[in-house]
Amino acid sequence: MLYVPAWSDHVEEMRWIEPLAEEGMGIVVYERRGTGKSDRPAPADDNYSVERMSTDAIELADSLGLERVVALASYDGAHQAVRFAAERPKLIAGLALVGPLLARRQSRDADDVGAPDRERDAVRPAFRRRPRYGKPARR
Amino acid sequence: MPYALRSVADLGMANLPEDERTRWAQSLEGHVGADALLAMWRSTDIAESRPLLESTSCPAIVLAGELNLAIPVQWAARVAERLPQGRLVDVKGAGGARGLTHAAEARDAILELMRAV
Repeated sequence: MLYVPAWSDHVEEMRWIEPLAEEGMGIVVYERRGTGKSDRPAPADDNYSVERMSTDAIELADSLGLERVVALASYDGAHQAVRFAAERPKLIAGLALVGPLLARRQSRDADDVGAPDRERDAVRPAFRRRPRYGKPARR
Repeated sequence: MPYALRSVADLGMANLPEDERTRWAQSLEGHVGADALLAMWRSTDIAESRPLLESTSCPAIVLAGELNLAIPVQWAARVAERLPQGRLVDVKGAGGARGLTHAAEARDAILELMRAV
């Protein structure tokens, strides 16, 4: 299995997949460019594009000689996993997407998601408090 | 603390107490540059990978958390529908950090997929 990180994931946060390793599975984890011990290219948008980071994942799998893997990805790591699976179907045996974010503009796409704002409002009371940090979250 | 780190903590751990989120956000300092994080954020903002869902052919599961503010279950369900071999796994009571708060459910669903492929 190949764990494709999201945002700022570092290896410590990937501990929750350890039980899978205990089941005897080989799991490859890595830190994305710009994070942890990986290289940190200058923060130009081209260096951190979805396409660029997808290529990183594919090149990593190839350099390790992986022949068939299940890709596990959460949040925006899903961009990488889905692109990987579409591009290299023989290599990706399965996809496990955990809360996938495949387009930030999903929320404005009524056809695609129904009524997200109403859904969000419905679950909001479940949280005791939802502090804001200066600026409102980007949508 | 950089706004970017706090925002990521807020998104990922919306259903955890603020002190836990703060601790987590602080753990990111040094681990990831706020500028790099913002560059990723901008890239993700304009990226669109949904049309590729139909191009996949492998078995797939999509885990959703019913209390996930960032990714409502409806979005995850739509992703599962567009995957030719997709299946939605709705983890009741889980938020965005379901891997941490509902590890058993997440693990079982993934193990089932691993056995099936």
